[in-house]
Amino acid sequence: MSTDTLDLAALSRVGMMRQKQPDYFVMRLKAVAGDLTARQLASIAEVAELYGRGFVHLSTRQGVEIHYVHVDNLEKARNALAAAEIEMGACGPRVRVIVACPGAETCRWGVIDTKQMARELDARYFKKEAPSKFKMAVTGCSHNCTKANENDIGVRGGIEPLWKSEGCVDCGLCVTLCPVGAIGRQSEDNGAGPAYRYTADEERCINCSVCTSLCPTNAWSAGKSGYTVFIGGTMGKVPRLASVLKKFVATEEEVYRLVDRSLNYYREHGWKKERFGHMIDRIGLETVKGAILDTDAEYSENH
Amino acid sequence: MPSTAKTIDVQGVSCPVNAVRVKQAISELSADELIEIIVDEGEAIIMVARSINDAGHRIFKVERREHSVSIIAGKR
Repeated sequence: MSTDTLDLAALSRVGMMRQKQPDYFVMRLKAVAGDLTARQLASIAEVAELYGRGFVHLSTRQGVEIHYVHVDNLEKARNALAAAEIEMGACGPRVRVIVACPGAETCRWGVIDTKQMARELDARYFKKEAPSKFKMAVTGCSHNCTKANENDIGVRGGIEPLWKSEGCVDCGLCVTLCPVGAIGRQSEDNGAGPAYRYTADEERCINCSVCTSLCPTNAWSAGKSGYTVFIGGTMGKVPRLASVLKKFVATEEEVYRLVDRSLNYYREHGWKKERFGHMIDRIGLETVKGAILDTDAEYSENH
Repeated sequence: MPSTAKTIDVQGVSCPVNAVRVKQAISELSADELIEIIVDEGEAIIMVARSINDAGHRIFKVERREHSVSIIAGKR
């Protein structure tokens, strides 16, 4: 088979990209949240030996790529991978493999189950068509290791910090530690009770849990946990950091509802090849947010 | 509050050596002694504070200086 007779768009849908070397392809594999079993890795190694050139390339989005697969071997290689339950990734204008940090399962900072959410996002949206590529990331806390705001949609886990006077020794560590200077100390003179209180400015707070996890006396504790949803991030030729769609989303279902609405809006309003964030800049952030968040009555009526 | 008899300056000491030195210094205090720890801002203060907490020692006062942080701490 020669490259001329191949449907390159169809191949790109299943994560196979033509190399600059004639007749050679890159096979992009799917690893949701960057997870692969040891057995899968062994199978990938075997396929790379047999059909590639004995090496793999690790992509910037937690993916594994097998390079230098000859066009005549694509089907055989794909079948061998499928036997090890390895699916292909995606290229082209569609939802790409979901990336995630290890999250609450193993990280002391993680406040949400990032991998579980990545798998759910994968089940719901992977390969769904869009005007341009569409990348999603889940990061377990405000350390933002997965770089949620470089993605078309980023989800970041967070907690609401709560302060109580019991136990507080007024040491001031929280004020010093808060990475965004959101915590303040107010003196009170009401004759009874403590003569001060500590508060976290809701607007500035990034829900990171530095104060709650380091408070020596647990006067700061983690209240409910939730999700910050970002939209419109992209790197590439015209980088744009994502904007906050909603700062504190309480439930997972609400996150998926916002992803649904974001994707629908993008499909309706995005120009071909225009990234989500650039569409937002063209239309205006507040307009787009209003439509997605359902606060724009006119848009909601028709959807 | 008892007086602050000792000082340890771990500015410029990299993590986790800063935390180890601070923990050692606190453990050498007598029960009624306090120590002032001078530490860099950022990751260093997080590392040192966590280490003091984890060892069960006590933090009494924390103040931000121009480019550093002062922690007054004592033995558990």
